[in-house]
Amino acid sequence: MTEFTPREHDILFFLLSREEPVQIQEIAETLETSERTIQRERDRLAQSLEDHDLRLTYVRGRGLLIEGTDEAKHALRDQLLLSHKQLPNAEDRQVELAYRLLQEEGMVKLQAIAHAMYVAPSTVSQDLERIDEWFLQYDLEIKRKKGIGAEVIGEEINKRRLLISLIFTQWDVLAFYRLLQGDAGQLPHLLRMNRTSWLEMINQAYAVIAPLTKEGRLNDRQIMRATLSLALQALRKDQFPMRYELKAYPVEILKWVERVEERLPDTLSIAERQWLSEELRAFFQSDAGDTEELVTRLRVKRLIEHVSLLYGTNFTKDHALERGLVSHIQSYTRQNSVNPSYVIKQIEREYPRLFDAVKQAALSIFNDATFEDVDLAFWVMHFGAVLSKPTPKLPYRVLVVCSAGLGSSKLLMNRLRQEFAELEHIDNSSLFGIERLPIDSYDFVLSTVPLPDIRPPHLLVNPLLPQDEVERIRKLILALPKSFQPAPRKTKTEWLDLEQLHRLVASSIQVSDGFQMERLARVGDGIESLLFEISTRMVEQGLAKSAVSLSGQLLRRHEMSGLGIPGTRLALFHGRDATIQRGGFLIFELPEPIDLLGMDQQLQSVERLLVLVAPEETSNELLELLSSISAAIIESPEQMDQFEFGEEQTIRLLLNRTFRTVIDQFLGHT
Amino acid sequence: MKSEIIYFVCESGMASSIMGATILRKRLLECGITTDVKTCRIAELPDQAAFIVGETQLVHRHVWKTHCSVHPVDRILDPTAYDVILESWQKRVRLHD
Repeated sequence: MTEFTPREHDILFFLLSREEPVQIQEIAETLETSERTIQRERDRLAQSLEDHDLRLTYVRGRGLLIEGTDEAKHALRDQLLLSHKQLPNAEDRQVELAYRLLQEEGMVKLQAIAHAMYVAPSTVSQDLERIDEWFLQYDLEIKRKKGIGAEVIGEEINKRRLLISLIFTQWDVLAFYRLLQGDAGQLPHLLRMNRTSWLEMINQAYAVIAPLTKEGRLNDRQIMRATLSLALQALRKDQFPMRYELKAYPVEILKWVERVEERLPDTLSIAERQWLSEELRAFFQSDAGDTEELVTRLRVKRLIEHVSLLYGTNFTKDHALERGLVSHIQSYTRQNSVNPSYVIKQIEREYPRLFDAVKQAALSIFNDATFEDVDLAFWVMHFGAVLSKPTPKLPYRVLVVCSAGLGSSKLLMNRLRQEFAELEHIDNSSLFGIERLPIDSYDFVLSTVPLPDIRPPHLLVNPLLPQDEVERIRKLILALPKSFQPAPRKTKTEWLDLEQLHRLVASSIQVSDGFQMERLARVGDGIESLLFEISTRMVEQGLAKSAVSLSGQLLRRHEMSGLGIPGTRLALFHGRDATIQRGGFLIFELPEPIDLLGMDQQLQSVERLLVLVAPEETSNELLELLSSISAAIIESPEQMDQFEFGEEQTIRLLLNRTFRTVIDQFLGHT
Repeated sequence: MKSEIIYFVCESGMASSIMGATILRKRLLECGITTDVKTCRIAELPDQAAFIVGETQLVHRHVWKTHCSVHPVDRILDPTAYDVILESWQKRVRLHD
């Protein structure tokens, strides 16, 4: 993948959009820079263009022109668009900072690092605060001396371990594999500072261990780690030697160390041999891979970002989500509360798009596939939980700028409307027209030609909006300050209807008090006698007037459209008519299963009946409460589970929680 | 068109329609559609209701006004059964745009 500096990128992009030669002065003005700068870039540009089968020609009196076939021009344009993709984020920058610090011997000036990273020294200062924690986890310390710089204090072995962790956050196994096959472009950004050395050492290290890994039965990630360990050692041992610590190692480990050392070009010192021993020991201890929290946390962050992009909702604000995912991955105990395959199916059906998004994201981030379907299902649940919280729909205002007369504006507008439902207001303008617009009133600007410096965030896009462009725009939207606004709190300041509240509470008490779970002793023959049995009991409790008419009703309902809840042992008998005297909710546990028609028109085995009844004429409040019970049943797999298997006390608690939600909503507390 | 509501009907208005509506709302939310889903008894359907969803057996027995677009569902507890409804809704929205 070719690299272009931002300036190169802008100049080339601009020139590509013009068929005729462009005066250097015009280029300079458009890009808000000086003619000298453009002149300076000319040689570099000419070289870059040659690499792409194009020519940079200077037409006397008229200016610069890119010459070549249309295909070559399109190819270059694509490359330019692609190279824009690698926008480093704060995490990446911090990883790079940590990496650079570990490469330095002794004190290093922050100014120097800031300069090398093309960021402000204050940014480096801030980043240092954040990465302090990482170093601490590895028993390392960043010592800062005001006015002089910073230095990493600690044992070399820990520095190497941290370095490897850092590399792992930027590089996945698949890319590593491709590098070994010969694609040098797969080297992550982080390591490109010492590109040649890394490439050489990685290939050498892999040559050493490749035959050995076949015997050791290491997984892909371990192979990657082993290679990196060796490569890192080769790179560092002269400048940053290990310090020997007296320790004993098991015989197998020492044997492996010998075999590796045999294949190395140089002999190792005792201290360096210890590095191998330590690494090998770590290998044999961990079975399911690394448990380093740093790597997990950064990967989870990336997962959340990825899912946000794929799904179109900002999940990055929710810290509980991040914590939940990290602790799930870190712990090896699986929750056994619900049948996993049932949960997976349920989730796949309820959140198909979210499931796909998470799966895709997980595969690309954890692509050494250290997760199973069960894990995936739980992760989707975590994300789904965030979704069910009401999120505000923020209206975004965007300006689309295209060079007049190119017809690309209409295309781009349509694509935007298709892909982004959240963009409420899309205006468009020609390049010259933007001067007349209140440009600051837009949340961001999209253009198909380079724009001069403007205040709102701005992206250069391909009017066809291929998928990667859509992602870039999503990323931009997610990063807008507006996206971080909390939901506007809806406080009810109107008159509180106390009578209505009273009815609501009174009905809640009525249904709660009337609730009971009864175990039937016998069920008789078939559903008619079962229903009659139940109806009789309900008449005894004063819920209905006539057992005969009630059971007839329930039977009719069953025949019309089954009442079993598919996939469970439950059936929900519900009815509302004149024969019901009082509304209520009851549960009947059957002594043995009975076959009933389910809501999917299939016969199913039922062992527990939920009964929900209301009179024909009744208060809205009672109806609302009974409805909330229906909703509660299918609210989540866990709650369904509780309705299915819970004892009376469990269900009572559930009812109380459900009613509380209804009352809270009435009071405007949600 | 933004103000149009989806009505989920059933007989009692407190069980099937509630559960079906819950599932439908989740599916709509998933697709980023902010339309409201209201439940009611089939006998109490307001006149302006134009997009109606309900159990197949139930909706087929009812006599519908001409302006009603009725969408029967066979298995109301199955989230995938609402794929067709989502498509119909999106088509309808696009037509009126």
